[in-house]
Amino acid sequence: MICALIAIGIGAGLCLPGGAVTRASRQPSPVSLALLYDSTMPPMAADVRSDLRLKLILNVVAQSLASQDTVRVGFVAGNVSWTRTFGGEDRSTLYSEVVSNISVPTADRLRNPALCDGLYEAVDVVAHDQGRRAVVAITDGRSAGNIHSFDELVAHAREAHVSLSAVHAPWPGNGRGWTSPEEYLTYWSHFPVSPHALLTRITSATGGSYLPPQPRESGDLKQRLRRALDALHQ
Amino acid sequence: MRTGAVIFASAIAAVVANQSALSGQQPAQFKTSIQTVAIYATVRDRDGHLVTNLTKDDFEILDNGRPVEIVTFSNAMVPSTIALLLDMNWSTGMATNHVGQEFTLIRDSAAQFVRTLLPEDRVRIVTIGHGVTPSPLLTSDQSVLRRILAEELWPGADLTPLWAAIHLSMDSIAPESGRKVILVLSQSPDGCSSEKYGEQTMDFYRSRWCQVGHGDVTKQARSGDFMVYAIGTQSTGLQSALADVADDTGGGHFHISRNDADLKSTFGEVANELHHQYAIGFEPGVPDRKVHKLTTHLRPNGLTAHARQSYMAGPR
Repeated sequence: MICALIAIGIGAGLCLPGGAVTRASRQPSPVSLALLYDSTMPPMAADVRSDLRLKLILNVVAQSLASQDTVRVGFVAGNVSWTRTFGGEDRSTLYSEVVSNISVPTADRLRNPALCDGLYEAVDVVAHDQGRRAVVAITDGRSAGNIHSFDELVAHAREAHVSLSAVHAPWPGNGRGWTSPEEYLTYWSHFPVSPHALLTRITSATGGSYLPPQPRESGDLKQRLRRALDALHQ
Repeated sequence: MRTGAVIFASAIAAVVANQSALSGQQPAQFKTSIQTVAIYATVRDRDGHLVTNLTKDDFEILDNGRPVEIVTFSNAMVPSTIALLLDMNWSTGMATNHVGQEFTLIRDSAAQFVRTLLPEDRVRIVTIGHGVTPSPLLTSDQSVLRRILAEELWPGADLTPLWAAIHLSMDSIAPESGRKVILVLSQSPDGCSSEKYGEQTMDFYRSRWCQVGHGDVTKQARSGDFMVYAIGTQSTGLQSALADVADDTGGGHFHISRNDADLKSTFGEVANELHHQYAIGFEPGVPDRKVHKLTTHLRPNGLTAHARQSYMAGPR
């Protein structure tokens, strides 16, 4: 039943054992995806192997990967690290291979991420691929220490016909006191900048999706990421 | 070899060559030396006004109490390399309109400071908040600097690793030639000194940001010829140790209320000082690798000089 509901949600999906869903191989246009993960988000103590949020995300990506699709996973902090390119045949090993081969030094994570430069690089990662080219970022939206400006990023993405999407993931219990979207928005209403305004700007300018933050991340993040990935296949 | 000292002498010579016609001064005769110690001196009269028309003979420099010969001298504007360090942490995690206004004030004041710089001045913006984040760009392009201020400042609610941030800022401009300035806008004392740091953060955070202290920064400032300016904006006050570092390096420290005019005018005062300092050089004696006390005396009455109070003698 769960499988069926999800299948309806994403269109022409196939059920896999355990309720996982994948897309049928006859997609008209394969998706070339650069998934950018902001590794400066707490919990800071966790390395990639014990980061449950990352595990959840990569499992969703694996489930959504059609046979002709490709994905590279990037980790942005002060620098950006990229995995190899995974295809639909790599669904079952995506998570284990990523966490086995990627290491983001803790020292590089204790800062605001160079998100704009990471996205700029992500555009380059998929710019010359065939099919639909897309970047999906999992981030809390803060960005600092960049060479490129966001205007340059948007121009670069447009020129390469790459859409930028963002799943906005402020962490629960972040010490800033918000427990609902309303509190989150109230907090940022006091400032002339806000992560959601920034992410809305770059996603809308490039034809991508923006999935705003929600208070209870674990289950919700899964659904929002799936929505962002589904949109790429439509 | 003291590479920085070589570049100091040649940088001044270049600036004087370019600007002597504008200033109406006779070009100063500089010796090129690998052992020149740089002193940037601010001179004020009894009313606190900057005095900018003194000559080399008006100055006396004492190295550990002994007069030394001034071998380079200029009162032309000397460009600076500046690390602008902005503490964006607020002690309360809850935002209010007041905090939002302060955020805007800091951003706008920093932008105004950038506008007052010389075309040759170069700036790297470093932000504190969720750790320390230096911009990779060290630039004189004011539009780039304004873009960074507009896009890369975020309010934080963490404890401030003040000394580590200054240390990192110094490192980030250490290879540059000429006058190197650290301008710190500090909202709170060093968080590593706080017991709360241990309670609120994990060991790895402490291991990243709490390995550097006041003594390390003082040593680094002396050996690297940095000037430190500090502006304190929080009710907790500017940390006295930071004020001491600023004094020792010949910079300055300011403790201001959270007030639009105060912060903007203080930034303006720092820029004005930097643009009206005397660049003085002398050749030290034996490189004994010790800290030497420096004194800058003025022969005319009624004037006071503010300059670095020490240097590290010897190879770096």
